[in-house]
Amino acid sequence: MADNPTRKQQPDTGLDPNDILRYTSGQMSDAEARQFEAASLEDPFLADALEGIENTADQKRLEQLAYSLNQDLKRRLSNKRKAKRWIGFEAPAWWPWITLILLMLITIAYLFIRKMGS
Amino acid sequence: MEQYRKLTDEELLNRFYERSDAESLGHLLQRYTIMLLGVSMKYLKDEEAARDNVQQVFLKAIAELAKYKVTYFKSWIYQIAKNQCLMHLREQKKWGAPLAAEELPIEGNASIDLEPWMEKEHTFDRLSAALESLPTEQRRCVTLFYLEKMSYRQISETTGHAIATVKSHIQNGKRNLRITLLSNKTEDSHGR
Repeated sequence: MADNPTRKQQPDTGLDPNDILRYTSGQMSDAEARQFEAASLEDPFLADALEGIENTADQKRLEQLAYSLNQDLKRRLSNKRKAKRWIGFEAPAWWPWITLILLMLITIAYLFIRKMGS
Repeated sequence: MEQYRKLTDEELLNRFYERSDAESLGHLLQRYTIMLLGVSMKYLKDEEAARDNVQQVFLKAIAELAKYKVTYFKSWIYQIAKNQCLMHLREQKKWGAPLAAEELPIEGNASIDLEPWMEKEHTFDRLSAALESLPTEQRRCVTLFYLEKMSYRQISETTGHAIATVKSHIQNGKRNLRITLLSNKTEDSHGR
């Protein structure tokens, strides 16, 4: 697996990303809010996210969207896991080989039976 | 569930790499759902487009994390989200007007780490002079935020400005302070 050195580290704010909703809904104390605001001034990701959420008219709708995205993600990852479990190995790498071997065995068996019959 | 919450981004990512643990990856991505939606809303200004954008970010992350070893997940996922937004905007305006400057995601880290400056005693004189050079309202808001440790709401109550104005004064004041401090530093090094 190749390392990707081009990515730069962002300041670690030590904040839970979901604190953003507590902040925008006014559930933080002044001290907590001040800490959050200072963090957002140092963290462009947090600042962008905050700006996007604050300018959204219906923040409850955003929470619903986040919930449905998370459910979707869980389903997607769980389907992947099930597929792997059923096959029992890394499906994309081995599946074509198994198919090929099975086809070859069937062809050999067919030719063998035909030869025996004649 | 609780065990995942206690793990850092790095630990979750390592679990995914070492054990192919998809659940770890799921928890890691979910940590950022609301922030990714926020970033997408900022640039795309449409809920459905933002939702689709986050979905694309998740798909891309799942595919790319299997190929690359990512060290700083947070920066990486932020960059993917911004690039997706940019692609979406380009697609939208393929045959229309060019993108306005404010619609373009800013490349690179625009962060200015001012807090350590504020705390270091040896920069105090330089900082005081730089503060004096700021326009009055910027100076007032920056002082209340960084030195008095007030929140935007408290500053808004004290100064009578709207919260958005307070935020803008702090952001602009911080940028101007940085410019002044950097130019002073350059003059000092030339003077030696």
